[in-house]
Amino acid sequence: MLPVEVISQLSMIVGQEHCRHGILDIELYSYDSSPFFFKPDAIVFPGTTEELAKVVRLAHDKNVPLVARGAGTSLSGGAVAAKGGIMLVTTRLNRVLELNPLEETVLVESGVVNLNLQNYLAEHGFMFPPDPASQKSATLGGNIAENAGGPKGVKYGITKHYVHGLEVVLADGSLTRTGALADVADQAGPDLTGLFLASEGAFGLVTKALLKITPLPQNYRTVLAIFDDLGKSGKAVSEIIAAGIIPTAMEIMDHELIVALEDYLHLGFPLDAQAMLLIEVDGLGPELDGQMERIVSICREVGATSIGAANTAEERDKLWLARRSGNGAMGRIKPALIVQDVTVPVNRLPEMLSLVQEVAKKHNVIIVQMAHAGDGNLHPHILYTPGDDEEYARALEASHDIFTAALAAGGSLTGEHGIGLEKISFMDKQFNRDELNFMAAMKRTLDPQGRLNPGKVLPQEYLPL
Amino acid sequence: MSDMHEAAKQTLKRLITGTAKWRPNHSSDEPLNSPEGANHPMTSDYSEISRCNRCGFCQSVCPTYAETMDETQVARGRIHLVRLLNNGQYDWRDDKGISEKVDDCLLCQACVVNCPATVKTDEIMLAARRDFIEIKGLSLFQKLVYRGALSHRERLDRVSTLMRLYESSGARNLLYLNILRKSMEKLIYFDSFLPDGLEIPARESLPTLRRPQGEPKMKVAFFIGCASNIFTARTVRIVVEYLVSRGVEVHMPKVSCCGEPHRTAGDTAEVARLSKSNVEAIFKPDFDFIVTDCSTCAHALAHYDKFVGEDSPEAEIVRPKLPKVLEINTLIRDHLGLEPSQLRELPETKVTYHDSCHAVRGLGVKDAPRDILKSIPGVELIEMKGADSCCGGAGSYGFSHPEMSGRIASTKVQNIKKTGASTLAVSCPACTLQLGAGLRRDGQPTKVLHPVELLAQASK
Repeated sequence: MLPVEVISQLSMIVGQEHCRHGILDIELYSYDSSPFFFKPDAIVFPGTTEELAKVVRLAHDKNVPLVARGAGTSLSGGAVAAKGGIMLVTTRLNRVLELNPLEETVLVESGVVNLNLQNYLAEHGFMFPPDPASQKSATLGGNIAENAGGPKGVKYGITKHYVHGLEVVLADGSLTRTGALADVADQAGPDLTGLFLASEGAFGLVTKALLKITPLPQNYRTVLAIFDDLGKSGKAVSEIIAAGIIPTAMEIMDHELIVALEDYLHLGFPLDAQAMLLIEVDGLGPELDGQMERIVSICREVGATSIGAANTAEERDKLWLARRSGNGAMGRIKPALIVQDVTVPVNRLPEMLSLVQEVAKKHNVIIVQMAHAGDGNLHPHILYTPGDDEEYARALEASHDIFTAALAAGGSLTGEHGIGLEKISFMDKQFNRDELNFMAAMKRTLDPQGRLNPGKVLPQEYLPL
Repeated sequence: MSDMHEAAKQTLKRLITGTAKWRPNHSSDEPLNSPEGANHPMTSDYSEISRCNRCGFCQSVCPTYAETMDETQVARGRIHLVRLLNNGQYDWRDDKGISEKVDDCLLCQACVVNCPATVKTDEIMLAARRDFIEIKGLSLFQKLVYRGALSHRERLDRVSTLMRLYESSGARNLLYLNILRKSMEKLIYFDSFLPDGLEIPARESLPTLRRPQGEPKMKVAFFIGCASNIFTARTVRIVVEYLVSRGVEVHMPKVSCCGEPHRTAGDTAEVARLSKSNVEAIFKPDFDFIVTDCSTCAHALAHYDKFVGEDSPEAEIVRPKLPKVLEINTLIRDHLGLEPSQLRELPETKVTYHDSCHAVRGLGVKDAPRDILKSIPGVELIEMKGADSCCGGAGSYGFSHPEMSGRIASTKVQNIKKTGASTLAVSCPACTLQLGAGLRRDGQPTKVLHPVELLAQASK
């Protein structure tokens, strides 16, 4: 519980209607899209960087935990208040401030929704390549804090490749700028921008970001290949990469997901298929047909049972809507899920996909798989029914096995969803002691009281206070 | 292949679990109150809730979230609150304000059609409203507006008389006296809903039967809804005259409210009473079609088997005739035809169209009104941004939730203005009132008309 005087000071800073501490407000800010529930003590919605900084300053003075939150679509528990305290919501900081077409940059506030930025940029012939499946709702601040990726990652990379500079409010409420926001040439001094990427709001709160944008591709080719075996779809992906082709996106969807998506969208997906591979290339135009021909022939060689192309923009949109709807569509199967985003080298993808299937059998759980396959980023969704503690325990064991296998295959715990609460106990398997000590030293420097998004990213044992 | 299809469907069916109870695995608190069972007086089926896995996609389409960007004003939040009631963490009798949050939903279904799991949030909200009425009884607003006025034809007519008196006597001018203005702000807001030159209610002024010259092409029952009756009587008259001019025999039996306002409030008993009272007049006789100018009434009538109660004897009468229920644009386009040769050119008019929720998501009607508009020489149809997002009128939502409703209307008005259209076409009297008021408050001279009114203007 926060002292009454803290609540009234918060109200003074952001205005009464933007400071909430009612019982129902607290309930509805106690979750994100992950399995974790923790109640904050108050929720504030600052309308400006200055208000935000004052809130952070107050939390500092009163030694109260503080969690930054955008749209609350995080999948690893990044946006829940694990230790209570103040939930600071950035949704009112939603202005696109300045487009610079010559420099190919855009300056935004951190609460701008990814898709709203995409729509704005499209009017000017540009795009912001990171396109997480949650882009309809997720904010750019959240994308930065979790270092979000998306289907286009294969060709374009992920959020960290598109941030030129940040405006950050530090734990004591002071304001700092990094990269090109501090120095136009982005040349002098150490590169501190990267420090805040994927830091999940534990190092500071991003209020503005100068993002790199790219011209919209002029043409696309999109195909959907069907397989009678999940491993074969993975093999097609690694063969395509091995052939030196870099498509824009290569997305795998497994049998259960195909059935759930067909139930939602009625696009005529074959319900007996074991895997679908959605492949897209983009560019100027003339080079695309040749590229796609090679991709299609590799799929055939690997054993695709059928291959179809999206002939119109509308058909393409529908295929992408299907892919982006994967997460939510699993609600048709079971009401809750643990989704992982382990990443392995692309040549290990086929065996990893099959291994996850075996893990599902071993622990008797439903695991629905999709993958940003082109960069080896798997998305095993382990489904469970809340309240069924026994099933949840099996889901956690399956999750554990997948993490272990991914690391053994030379992979990584996360490709884009962040560590959050979910993967924190695996950090010492990904990083060695010295690496974790170095991260902890950074954390202590930036947040000596350990109040910013406590319990996330870094294992507690590395943070003696 | 088709066997395979069936097998896969069965698999999916088995996978979809019907668990209605839900509790988080990692809640930082124990359940809040109430012994097991004591707080479960509700009868509705809440299994729908289990399909929401809180992905948050509803944020991108929910009109109340767009205005507030607040988790307490979006589908996944509303569902979570009902989930908490449902699994006993809150008590239905002492609900800490959950019923108000449930009432904040517009029921516009934007979340439903955009939900990857197609969670029917509207049905969850309706179920909760029904259970709240069961437990707490009707609210004062519901008693006054729904059971008080809308349930009774004659009382509604008296309301209309009072409104016309208020208009013609000059009493409304008092609101705008500078000296009173500040204290009258709320009344001025409500006054903005009253269109100028209100006509005598359509149910009073129109005969029960209008025959065309010569042999009629078809016989239709025209359902005059409550809002059309009072607020857009002129539209009703023009639409009926148009139908007659096209050779249609139009029957206008005396009807009661369709029951939709009561349904949205969760007043099941009154829905059954009202709908049953309409069966005799509308569904029993042999009409070629049952039509109405109001999207909401059309949507209600098209689901009348459920309104009267699916197991009731009335449902037997209603069920075979449901395919005959059409909203007016569809009847005209598909059964009377659009013939440009019969139309004269209107002076150049830029028109934008607003889809009402009950038409576009409820009945799947999107093209018919647009096809009518496009067929009129001189009319240029310009699409607005978010044409199919709810206007915030949502039946009586504008009166029960003036603040939120007003904000949603302003957003919509901005989108209308950007098109540069001089006319807004709308096929629903509630949307007409709401957007007319929004435009008036914004000082816009934009005309608000039914597409058929424009069609009638152009008819030779």
